[in-house]
Amino acid sequence: MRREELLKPETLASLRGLDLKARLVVEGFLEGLHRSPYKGFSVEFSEYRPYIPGDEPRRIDWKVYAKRDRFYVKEYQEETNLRAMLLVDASGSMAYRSGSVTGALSKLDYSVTLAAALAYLLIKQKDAVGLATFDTQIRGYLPPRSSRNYLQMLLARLENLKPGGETNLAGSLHGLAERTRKRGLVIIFSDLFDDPDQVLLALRHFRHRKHEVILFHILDPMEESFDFSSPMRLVDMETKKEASLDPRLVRAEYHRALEGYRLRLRSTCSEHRIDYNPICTDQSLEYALFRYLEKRRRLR
Amino acid sequence: MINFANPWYLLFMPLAAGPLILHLLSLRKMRRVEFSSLFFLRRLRERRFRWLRLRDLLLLILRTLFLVFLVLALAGPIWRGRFPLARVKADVVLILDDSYSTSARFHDLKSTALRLVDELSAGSSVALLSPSGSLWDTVWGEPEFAAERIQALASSRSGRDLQASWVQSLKLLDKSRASTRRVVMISDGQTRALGFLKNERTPSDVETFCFIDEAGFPANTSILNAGLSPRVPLPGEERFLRIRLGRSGKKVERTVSLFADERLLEERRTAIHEGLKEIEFRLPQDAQGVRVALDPDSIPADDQRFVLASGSRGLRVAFVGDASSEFLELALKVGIGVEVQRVSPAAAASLSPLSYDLLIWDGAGGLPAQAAAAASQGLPVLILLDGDVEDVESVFKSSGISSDGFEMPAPSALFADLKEEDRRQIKIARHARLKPAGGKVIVSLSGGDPLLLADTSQGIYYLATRFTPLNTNLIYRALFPAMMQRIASYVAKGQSERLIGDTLRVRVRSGEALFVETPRLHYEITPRQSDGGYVVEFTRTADAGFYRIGSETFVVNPDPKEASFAKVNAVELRNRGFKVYPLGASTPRKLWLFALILAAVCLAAESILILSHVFASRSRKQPKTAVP
Repeated sequence: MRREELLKPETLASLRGLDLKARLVVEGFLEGLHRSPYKGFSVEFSEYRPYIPGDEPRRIDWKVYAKRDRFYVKEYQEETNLRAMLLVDASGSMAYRSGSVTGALSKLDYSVTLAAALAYLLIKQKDAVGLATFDTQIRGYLPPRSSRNYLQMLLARLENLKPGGETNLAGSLHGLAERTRKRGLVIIFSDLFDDPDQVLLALRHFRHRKHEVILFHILDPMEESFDFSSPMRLVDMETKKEASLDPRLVRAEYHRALEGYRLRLRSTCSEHRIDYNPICTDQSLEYALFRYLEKRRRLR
Repeated sequence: MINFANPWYLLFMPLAAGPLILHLLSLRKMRRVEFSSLFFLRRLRERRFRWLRLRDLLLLILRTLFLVFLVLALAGPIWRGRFPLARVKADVVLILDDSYSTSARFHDLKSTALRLVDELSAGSSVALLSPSGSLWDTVWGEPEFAAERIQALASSRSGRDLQASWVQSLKLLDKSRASTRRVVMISDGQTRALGFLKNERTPSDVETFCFIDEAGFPANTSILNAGLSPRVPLPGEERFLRIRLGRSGKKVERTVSLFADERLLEERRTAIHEGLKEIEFRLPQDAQGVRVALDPDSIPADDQRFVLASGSRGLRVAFVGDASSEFLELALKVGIGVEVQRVSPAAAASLSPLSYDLLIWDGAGGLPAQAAAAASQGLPVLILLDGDVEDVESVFKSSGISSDGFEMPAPSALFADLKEEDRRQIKIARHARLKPAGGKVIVSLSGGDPLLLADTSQGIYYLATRFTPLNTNLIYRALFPAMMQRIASYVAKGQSERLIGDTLRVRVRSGEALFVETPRLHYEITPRQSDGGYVVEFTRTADAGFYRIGSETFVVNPDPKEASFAKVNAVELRNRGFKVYPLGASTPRKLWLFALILAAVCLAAESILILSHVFASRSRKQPKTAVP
C-alpha cells in the first residue's frame, strides 16, 4: 500500500484495530519524510537488545557482533523533554458522519485515529503522552507516560471511546487545565460546538498554565458545506431538538456563521499563540501530523 | 346583502381546504435528518426560521384565498346594499334626471329607479317624471306600470333642471291621500339639475329623497360654445368660427372637424391641456350651415354644435325714428341680411315677435309705452336715448328705468373684433361713471362707462346715446355701420338659435301646407290658425341640428351648461331637509370581477414568493469550502 493511501481517511476507516491504524499512519507518514524528525536526539546508552528484522542496520553494534558473533542493537535512554496531553471531545456531536461519503470516518473516529497516531508518534519519540476524554465532564484521564507499554493502554482507551451526550467543552477544558499541572503540549480534538467566549477562555487557561496548545477543530464535510438539498427536519444529535427548514435558504447564513466562528477562533488563538487547525474529516491525516511536527520542532 | 348568480358553484368551496390538507401532509412527510448540532443554526432560527414559517403560512393562506376567490368569482356574487325605501306602501313621485349629462350613467340611474319601484309594497302608486318629457300628462300608476316606463326611458339630449318636475311633483302629491307621500329625485348630481334645491324646503308632510351619483363626472370633452366672428359681416369681410372646448379628466388630444353644408372642410388635432381651449377656423364666404364636431367620447351629445352662417332669412328690424335717424337707418340697411322697415310709434305697440326680430327706437326720451308693449309680447327692443348724456345716472332719470335692475358689468365680446385704436374712437363726451347695482351693462366704453345696457327682466336694451353727426365723430367712421349691425344682431340674438327641448314657432301668411325639415325627419305640415294668422309650431326639439320650417331656418344646439362639472353639495341639501343617498347605495354591484382580480392578486403574490424563493436558492449557492 502506498503512503498516500495509508493516510487517507477512507483507507483507515476500512481497517480494524487502532494499533494498526496508528502504526500505519505514522510509518506511512515517516516514510515520506526526507529527514527523520527525531534523528539526532540527545541520548544516553541504556542496554543492548537482540536485533530483530525491521531494525535499522546502522544501529547494529559491530563491536558486540565481533565479540559475540550475534547482532545486537544499542538502546538509548532518551531524555523525555515533552509531556503531551491528548484531549479528545467525545460529545454526541462528534459521532456525526455525513451520509454523502460512503465509509467516511465520524468526527470522533477521525479524532481517535489522529490521537492514536500522535500518541504512537510521541511514544516512538520517547515523549510522555497522556489522554483525556470528555463531553459534559471529564470521562477519562490517563496521565502522560512515555513507556511503550503505556501506548497500548492509551490505544485501548481510545478504541473503546463512545460518543456521549451534550458538550460542556469549556467546563471540561477548565477542569483539565487545572488537572494538568506540569507544563507540556496540549493537543485538543473537538468540533468546538460551544460558546466561543467560554471556549477561548478555557484555551487561555491552558496558556496561562504555560502549556503549548494545538487545537484541531474537526468538522465533517457536510458541516462545512451544509449541502442538504430539500426541506427537512434537522435533529440535533446532542440535544435531540428539531428544526424544520429549507437548507437552501439558510445555507449562506450558515456559512457566514461558521466562517465568523472560525475567524474569531483563529484570531484569538493567534493572539495567544495557540495553533488553530481546522480539519475536515475527508482530509488526509498527514496534514495534522505535519502541524504537530512543526509545533514539536518549535518546542525543541 | 350578497346574492349569487350561480350559487351551485359554491359547492366547490371545500376545494379551498386542499392547500391546508396538502400542507399538513407535507409536514408529515418531511425528511428527518440527524445533524451534529444546531449550534450555528440557533441564531439563524430566530430570524430566518421565523421568515420561513411566515412564508409557508403566507403561501398556505394565498393558495387557500386563491381558490376561495376563484370559486366566488364563478358563483357570481352580487352585492345589494340596504335600500332606504324598501317595503313601504306609499305614493311616490319619481323624478328621473334624463338630461344629457346623465347619458354616460343613465343605466345606473334607471337601476336605482327600478329597484325603488321593485321594492315598494303592494298598493303603492308611482308617478314618473322625466324633465325632458311632458310634465302635465303624468298619471299615477301601479309600480309595475312605472317599471315598464322606466325600462323604456333613454337619456335625452336636452339640458333641463329638475325644478319644474319638483313643482309638478308637489302638485301631484297634493292630490294624494296616501299616508306616506314621497318625492324621489334620481340624478347625476349636477348643480344645473339640482342647484335650485338650495332655495327649496321640503314640505313637512312629504318625504323627499335624493339619490345622487357619488362618482365624479366621466372624462369628457365638450364644445361649450361655437360662434361666428364677426356675427354680421360687412360685404367682403372674412368670417371665422370660434369654438371653445372644455374638458373634465386628464389632458387630452381631440380631433376637431369642421363641416360646411355637410362637406368636411378641415380637421384639426388639438391638445386640451387646461380646462378650456379656444380655437378658430376660417369660414368660406359661401358657407351656410356649419357643423363643428369632436370625435365622440363618454357624453356624445355635446360633441357637436351647429352654427347658421347664412342662408336664413335676414334680420327683420322694425325702426321708429325721426328725421335725424336717417343716418342710423342707412347704416343698418348697409348690412347683409338686415331688413329695416320704418313703423310709426303707434304701430310699434302691436308688433309681434313672429313678424319682426327687433324693434329699434331711435331718439326716445325714456321708455315709450309702445316699446314696452312690444317688449311684453316678447319682441326684443333697442332704445337709443335722446340727447347728450352728461351723467349716466341721467340715463335712468330720463328713461324712467329703475337703476335697481342693473348688475355689475359682465365681459362682453361685442367689440372684441375691433382693433384697440378703433375702440378708442368710440367716445361720448362728458359722461359720468355708473355704478350699476343690478341689470346688466353689456358694453363699456374705453373709459369703463356703459354704452349698451340691458334691462334683463323686460328684455329691453338701451344705447346710452343717440348717434347723430352732431354729437359724435363716430358716424364719420366706416366702423359705425358694422357696430350698429352687431348691436342689432346681439339684441336680436336667440331669435334663430335654440336649445334642445325648445319649441320652434313660425308665423306664416297662409294656411297652405309647409315643408318641415328636422335632423331626422322631412315632412309636410298644415299651419294652424292663431290670432288671426297662421302658425307652425314644432314642440320640444329633441336633436341638435338645423330645422327648416318653410323659408325659416333655425339652429338647435345642446345646452352648454349641461357640460358643467359642478356638483351639488349633499350637506347643503341635507340641511334643507332632503334625505340624500349615494346612487351606489341602491345599485346592485356585480362582484365577480372583483373576486377574479383578488384571485389573480393572490396568484401573483404566490408566484412572487415562489420565484423569490427560487432566486434566493440560486444566489445562495454554497461557496467553496476553504480549509487552510
